[in-house]
Amino acid sequence: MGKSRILCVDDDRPTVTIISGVLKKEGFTVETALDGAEGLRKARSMKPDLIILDIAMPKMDGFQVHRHLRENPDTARIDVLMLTAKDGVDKIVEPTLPATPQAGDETYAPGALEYMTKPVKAKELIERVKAVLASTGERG
Amino acid sequence: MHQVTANTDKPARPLSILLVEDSPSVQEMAALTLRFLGHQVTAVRNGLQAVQVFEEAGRRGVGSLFDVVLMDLSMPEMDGLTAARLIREEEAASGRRVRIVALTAFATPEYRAKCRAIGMDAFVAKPINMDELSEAMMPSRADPDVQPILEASPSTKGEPFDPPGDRPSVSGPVDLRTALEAVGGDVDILAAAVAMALEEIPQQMAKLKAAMSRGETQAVAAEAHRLKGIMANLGGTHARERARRLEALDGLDLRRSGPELLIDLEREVGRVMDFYADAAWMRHARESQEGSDG
Repeated sequence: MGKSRILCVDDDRPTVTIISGVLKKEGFTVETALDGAEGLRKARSMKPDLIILDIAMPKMDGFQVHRHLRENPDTARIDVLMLTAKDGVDKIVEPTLPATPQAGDETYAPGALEYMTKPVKAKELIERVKAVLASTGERG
Repeated sequence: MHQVTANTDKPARPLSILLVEDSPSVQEMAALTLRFLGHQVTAVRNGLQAVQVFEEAGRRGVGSLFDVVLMDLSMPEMDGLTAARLIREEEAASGRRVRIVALTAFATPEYRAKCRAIGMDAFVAKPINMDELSEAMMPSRADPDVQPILEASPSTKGEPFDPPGDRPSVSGPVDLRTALEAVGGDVDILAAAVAMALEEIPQQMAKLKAAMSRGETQAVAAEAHRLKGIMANLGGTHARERARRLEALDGLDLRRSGPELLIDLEREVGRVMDFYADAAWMRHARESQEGSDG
């Protein structure tokens, strides 16, 4: 599927190191961001195929980042794999819904939003990333 | 009540005892002696199993299965202080109160005070003197400086009850297999993550303490959450579990058991850091990979 480009946004540097290390080894091009604002900036400049996005981040959480991505036509179609804590008490209660695109407007068809639990395991991460990218390939 | 000693054939009252001790030899010796004295002994190997026994009893509604818990303090999986605290919490719902006797080689006054603060009733130094232990087990012979306890109700014997069986126990601070699973077995990636983590942990710990001292529940939860994530990546099973519990505490619970849990967490986090500070872990990791990957 060529060299897919992935942006990983998580405030936890060890997690970022693990995710980018595992995915680079798998042949993906990976960039990282340590907070939501940086993540949005890089999403606009890099135009990745997939963003791996942590939910629990200070200042701007994953849901807010996701909403901003969807509101901008340049980033609206990027697939997102959201990371949630497995045994957490993830305190975020209400996921913000993606901005509703005008019906029938193909250019605004939002990218996929999927969830994966933390802690991340390499095998599952690779499987999930490939699955999301493959489904996008079919769609577009 | 006449004094119970190892020389009497029958104790003043046969007790139902939960013996929590990780050393097989100590466990065997103590169980044999206690049974010889006429007591009924159920033995488990760590604090977690002890807590599970109580939780299970609570679920089944069989009431108090034991008159006394003999609790070693330093054990893998879950230490005695934590287990005692969780048992007290579990009991809070039923209003019962089992007698808990701490067994430890570290018989310092500070340690005694800590045991009492957590709700333990008596304290016996190791090596165990059976006379001393027998005395400590009897409610009337409580440590004079121990808070008065409710009169132990005669134990209600429920249906036959099996303590939880042995599980694969992770005795060290780090479950390297879990950590390697996260990185697909790549020791170099793990080493890079570890280097990041070792830098971040002290700051994270400091933030958590600051939040705790300000009594800000949400900030404590957020910082504990981050620490939990770091520990999860490093395979720091025990530390992660404590961070998880700290994250889940709110309001009153945070004031009541937060500080204790924080001390616990800090110790476990320290053990994880010590583990990774020694570069020998990389060799172990590579060896274990060769073993599993073939």
